[in-house]
Amino acid sequence: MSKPGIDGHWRGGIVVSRALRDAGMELIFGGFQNVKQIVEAAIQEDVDVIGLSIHSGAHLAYTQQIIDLLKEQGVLENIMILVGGVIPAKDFDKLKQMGVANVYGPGSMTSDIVEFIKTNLKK
Amino acid sequence: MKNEYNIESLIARFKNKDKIALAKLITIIENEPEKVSEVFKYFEEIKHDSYIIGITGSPGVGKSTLTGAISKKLLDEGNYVGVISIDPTSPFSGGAFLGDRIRMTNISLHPNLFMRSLASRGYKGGISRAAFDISMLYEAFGMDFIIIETVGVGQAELDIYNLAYSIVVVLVPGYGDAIQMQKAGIIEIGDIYDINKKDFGGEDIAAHIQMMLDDGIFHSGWRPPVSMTDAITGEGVDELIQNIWDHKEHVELSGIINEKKMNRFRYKIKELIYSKLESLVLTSIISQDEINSIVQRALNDNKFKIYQTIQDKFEDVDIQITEKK
Amino acid sequence: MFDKNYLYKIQQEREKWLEKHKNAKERDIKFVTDSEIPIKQFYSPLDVKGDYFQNVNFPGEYPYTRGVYPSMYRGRLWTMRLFSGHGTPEETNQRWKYLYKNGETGFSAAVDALTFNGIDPTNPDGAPEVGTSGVPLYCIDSLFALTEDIPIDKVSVALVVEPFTSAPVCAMYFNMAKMRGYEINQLMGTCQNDILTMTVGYIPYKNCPPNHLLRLACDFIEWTVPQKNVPKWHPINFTGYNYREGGIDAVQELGFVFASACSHIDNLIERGWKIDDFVNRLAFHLAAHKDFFEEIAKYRAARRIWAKLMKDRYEAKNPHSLQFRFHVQTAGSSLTAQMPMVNIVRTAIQGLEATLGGCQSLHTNSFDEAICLPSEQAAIVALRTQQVIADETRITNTIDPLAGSYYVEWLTDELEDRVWKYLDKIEKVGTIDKTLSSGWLYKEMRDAFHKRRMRIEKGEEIMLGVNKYPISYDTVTDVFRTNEEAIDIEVNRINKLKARRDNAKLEKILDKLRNVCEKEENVMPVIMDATREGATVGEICDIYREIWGIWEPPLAI
Repeated sequence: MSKPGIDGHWRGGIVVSRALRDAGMELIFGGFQNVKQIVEAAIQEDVDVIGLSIHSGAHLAYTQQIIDLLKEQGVLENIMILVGGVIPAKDFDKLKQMGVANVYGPGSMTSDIVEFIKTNLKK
Repeated sequence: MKNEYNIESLIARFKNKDKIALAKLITIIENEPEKVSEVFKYFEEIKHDSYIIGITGSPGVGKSTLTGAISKKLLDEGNYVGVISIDPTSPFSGGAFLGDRIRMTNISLHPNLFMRSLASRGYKGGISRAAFDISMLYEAFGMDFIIIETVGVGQAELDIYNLAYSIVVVLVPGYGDAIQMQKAGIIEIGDIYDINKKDFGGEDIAAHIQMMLDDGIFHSGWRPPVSMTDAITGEGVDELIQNIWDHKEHVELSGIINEKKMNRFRYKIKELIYSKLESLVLTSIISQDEINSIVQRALNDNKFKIYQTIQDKFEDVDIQITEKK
Repeated sequence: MFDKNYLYKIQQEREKWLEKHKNAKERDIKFVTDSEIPIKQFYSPLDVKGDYFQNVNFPGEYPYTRGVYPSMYRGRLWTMRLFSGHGTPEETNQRWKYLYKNGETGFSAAVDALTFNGIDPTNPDGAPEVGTSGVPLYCIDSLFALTEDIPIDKVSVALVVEPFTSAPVCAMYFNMAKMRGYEINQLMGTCQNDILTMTVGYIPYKNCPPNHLLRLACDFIEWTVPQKNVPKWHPINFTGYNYREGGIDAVQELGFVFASACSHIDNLIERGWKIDDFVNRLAFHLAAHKDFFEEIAKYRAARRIWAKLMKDRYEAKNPHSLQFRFHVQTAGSSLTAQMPMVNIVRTAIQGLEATLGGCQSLHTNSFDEAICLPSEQAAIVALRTQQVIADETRITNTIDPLAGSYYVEWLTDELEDRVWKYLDKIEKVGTIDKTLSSGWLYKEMRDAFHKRRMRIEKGEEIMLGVNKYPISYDTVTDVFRTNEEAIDIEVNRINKLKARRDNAKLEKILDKLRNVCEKEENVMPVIMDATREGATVGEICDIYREIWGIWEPPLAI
């Protein structure tokens, strides 16, 4: 779970982190990280999912940068990317076209997120 | 989501210092313990040794921040550093919140640094089953220093003693009193003590520790030093690192390091043996189902019978060991 | 207040009523307030305890339960102040003019994440966020652009920045005003300067430790008010709004703001000031949340508690020192991205709470705020919402119209009681910066986050469109996008400034700042000099970081 950039609206990230942990997942909390740090962490921790918590309005820019860097490193294929935060519904499709598996806007239920991950992560 | 990785090709990349390969091998070692010996077969000719530092102390004392500070110093001096950070697995959900990496963000892109977060996964010793194996992997990779940050020191979480050569125990003011520390056995395993967040009353706790050390016996002639730091401002960190260096020197010059290494190997060998024994027993002598039914009977019937029941079970079997031809 | 015998009669009749209706079927929900105070079927004179004059009294009279002024809205309406900012200072200036033309009576600058955290746009870590969540105010030139043709001598301006950057941003504002020819000792305005906003609910990016934030906040208060440099300025707004948004309840909200206020007051008294020298300019910023009556009772209770605190604990003598003045923002966390038009209703009801509660200043949210920054259309609707209340409903005919409601008076008393207890609890942990650095506050917030999430996921707290009548996200409403060129524009602005300023002179001043930070001198005079000579917010904050280190908040999950 990471927050690209510097905007500090953290409640969503914290709440989802706990829900994922309570659902039996191992969650690495990245905090504020820039794009390179997020990708490096994903590589070293060999994660299955990257969760981006974005409330700054800059979600399209950050997500594209992260996906490009993951591709460059050759690890994009095996990582599921989820984006959450203040994301206008109109941008959901754009994000999915970039390669994001699912987008969670305000009011999303954490149980939905857990369910999605459990169903869609191939073992 | 994971492709089946070909171990051989991963090893080849690993030997080329590919961090992605290292990360994938760690995952294999952590999740597929039956493949561990296959992996390590490829390293039989590697002679490299790393120096292992353990950082322990209750949650919230600032271990991660100190680990970051120590790593930075090591990296600045040109070393390869491998970090293993262990956080507890929730006994209720089986999940874990691994929050140590966040303290290392500002050095996370250094090319000579590799950090991995692990969940204890039910292991009671304060580290995790995989931690030892990963430390071996780091040694094969060529790390000069390995820093292992443990879950936190409670009553029984002292296994770091069997894994690291220099153990730093981190305390903060107000964190329980001297008796707590003694109960936890901290006083026996620490090689170096550090009081972090010192501005909140560090002198008192430093005095406490000195008093306890006064009462102690030091087998190897090393009396643990006590430093005071404020990991946020960096105050005192140089002194802590110097203390760690001094201990390393002591351990290497006095030859105690060999004892520690042997201790480390012996610990792992024992664990491997017991693990094999356990599965052997479960498959040949008494199955998990049988155990479950004995438990059920103890609940419903007479719990004091369990001693005799197990004794009988083993007396009823004839154990023969024959060598394969 | 009521005749004893008559009360006895009511009690008897009430018991009869309860007996008669004891099997009445009630809906299967919990009848509690948002802060989980259990509520009865009805309230009566039996529930209103205490002496009218001691507890309630008249408007403008201690303990000010009914309002801090004798005339309240009959004399002057609350300030209609919409928190706004986006893209670049020039664009924000346009929006401000538009709102002012439409009847806004106060300005409020919402700054972007870089300004908030003291980072320059030349720093790649923050660059994609220039102007995306507020207006960038990195240097004095930005303040000029922001206030072009804005009558800052007549209308008050709120700069919503926190202790880490309140000094440089306000100093830029004051310098700009001086250069425009205004007397800064006549300037009206405020800055939030709130230590808890930066640290809880919103996690700060590379800020310094809380004890230094407290010092910076108090330096600013000291320089503006008791040192009489900008005596009409309100140098701080203890802000319950931001933590309320995280999920804490009304009791905790007041507890936090009062604990924070006392820590600041104690700090200033330690510096040698008398309470009456400065306390009348300390203001508050509270939320208007979903529970209609609880919020109104909360504001009344707040006034009473503050008056008592100032009189009993601090022995303030000046009546102005006992008056609790506050700005309200309607609750952003109550808005939904599903069917955003419904947000207009929510905001209207919350705006009504604030005005029935006697606020001095009000911001109403725009209906698209769960999706993006407010578009022009949405901002106008938000403003008109306030104007409908002010001009069409006639609630302003009388002061504190809900006084005397048995329910509201009882709830006011009940909240007051609970707040005193919670305040006690907080103060046992220590001063406000200790509650932060020890991690205690984070744990309270964390528990509140999760409690509220559970309530919503279980359906105990209803959010229409989310957990009742759920529908998918709205894709019709226009999404307001901020200017993508903003980062280039701002980087250019700063480069131009750097090219024309006297860098050698500035370097000397910045060195002096380093010195001042290490000592216990007030930072404002040096920062006034630095910003006048063209220092950027990032440059000043980098010095704080150099001297005091970067704080890592003890986040609790």
